[in-house]
Amino acid sequence: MGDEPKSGDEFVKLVSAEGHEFFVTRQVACVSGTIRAMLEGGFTEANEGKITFPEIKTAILEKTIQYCHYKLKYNGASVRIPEFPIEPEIALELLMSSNYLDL
Amino acid sequence: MSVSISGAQPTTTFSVGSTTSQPSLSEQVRRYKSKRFKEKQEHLSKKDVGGSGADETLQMKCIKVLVANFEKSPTHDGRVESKHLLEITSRLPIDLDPKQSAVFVHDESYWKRACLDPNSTLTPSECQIVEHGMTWKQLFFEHHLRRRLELFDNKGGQDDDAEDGKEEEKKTAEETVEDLLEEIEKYQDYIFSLSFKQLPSHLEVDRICEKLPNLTKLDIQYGINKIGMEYDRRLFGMKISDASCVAKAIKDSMNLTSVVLCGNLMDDDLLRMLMTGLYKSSTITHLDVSHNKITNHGVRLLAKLLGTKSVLTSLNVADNQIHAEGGRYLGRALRSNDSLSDLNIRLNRLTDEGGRMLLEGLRDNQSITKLNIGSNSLGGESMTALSVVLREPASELLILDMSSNQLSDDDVDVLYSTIQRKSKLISLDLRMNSTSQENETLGRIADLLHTNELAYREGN
Repeated sequence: MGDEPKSGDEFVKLVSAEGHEFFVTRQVACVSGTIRAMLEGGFTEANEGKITFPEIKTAILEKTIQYCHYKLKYNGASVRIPEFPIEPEIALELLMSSNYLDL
Repeated sequence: MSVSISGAQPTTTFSVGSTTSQPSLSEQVRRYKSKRFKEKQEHLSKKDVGGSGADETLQMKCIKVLVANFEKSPTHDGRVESKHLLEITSRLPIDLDPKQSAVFVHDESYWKRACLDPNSTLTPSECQIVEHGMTWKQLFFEHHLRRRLELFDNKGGQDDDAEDGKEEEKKTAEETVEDLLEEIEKYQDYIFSLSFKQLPSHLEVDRICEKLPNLTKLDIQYGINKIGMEYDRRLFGMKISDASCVAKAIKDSMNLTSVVLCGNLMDDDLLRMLMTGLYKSSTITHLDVSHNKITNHGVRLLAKLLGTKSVLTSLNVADNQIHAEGGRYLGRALRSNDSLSDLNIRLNRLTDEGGRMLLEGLRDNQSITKLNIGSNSLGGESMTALSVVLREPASELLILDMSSNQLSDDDVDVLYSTIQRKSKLISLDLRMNSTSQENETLGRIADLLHTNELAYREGN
């Protein structure tokens, strides 16, 4: 929708393979290099603020977004950083999708 | 690529093969690849690997989780990228269950790490990949199987007097053998040679060999290691049941080429049992039954292996109880044999007559190149027969060992005059005979042989 200010407050929509829609702030989404490139290029995604990931399952995408929040929150922080839990069952697929998303 | 092995930290990269004089197969492949001047495979960048907590990438976190859960759910998905796979295998612990690691881990660096680790059961001198097909994985599993067999105990529990106690124990013992066989099936592709120095459980060797389709070499000895004060003569040596199992294994195998059975207290009866298998085999080229108790009757059986269709190239019957008649049987068999090139009959009781009969059989033999008849109390008659053999222009005899016999100075003269007239002999051992100290002929023989050897080397 037109030319809105690209501040961190603005939300983008990430859609998983099953069609689940996740709303996250632009700042959080841009933790991933791939997503940032998608949003800053002149693609449809940038204009609409919506990215679809047909290969990434809902559970994986959810975990990925959790990681983005985790990283943003604790990057350079001096408090005790908690462990980021990953269930073994999703580890393999998470590895592949995080490789794709450059996380 | 970095090299040091001692006290290795997990982050050091291992160059496979760089500490051995011969590079292993995977190292050779890697070296060949790097000459193609393509862009090198992208490695995980520094930022991915370092740190923990928030600094670590999600990829690294996933890798750590995968490594931690490898035993329960090994990654065999082809979708994992090679750079991640490399990182995963470099972090895998060495004491993984062999059943899992055999099937899922293929990286040679992991196997090299497993073999060279100070906690592994391999001593550094045993880590000779030359003897194990130039791959660390093969070395690891052949050694692993050897240890499993040597330490296998199917006696189950200790004291059990009750009848039903025995029933149950027997059941657990059966199960353990089944478990062992199931385990072997997982790494059967990597076992090319089976060897052990003791088998206290005396379990059926043929059942094991059934599971090893690639087996080419059998080297077994039914001894006991480190017995100390509990020495009992009955613990040593092959039993009849063992012999029949080994015979069956030999008969059923399609790839076995080398059979080594020294030090098994093997007498003629055991040999007869083994022959049932040996005779049916058409692939065995090396047979070693040295250091046993074989007599003339046993030799007559062995001679049957040396018929016209024989493929045996090397036979070792050293240190047995073979008398003169045995020499006759062998000589007769060798008359029509054209496959045997290496015969070792050292340390027997052939005596002069036996030696003569053996060498008479070798007169027209064109395949024998290496002969060891040391320590057989040979004398003049044998030397005469030998000179007939050497005089034949078609004789291919190159290496001859006649040490520790009773050859006299006259015999040495006979030998010298024979060799003078063009012989191909390049190596001769005449130590510990009854020759005198200042025998000059020996020196002249040595010169002749030296010339022969140089000519041989030039020719090859």
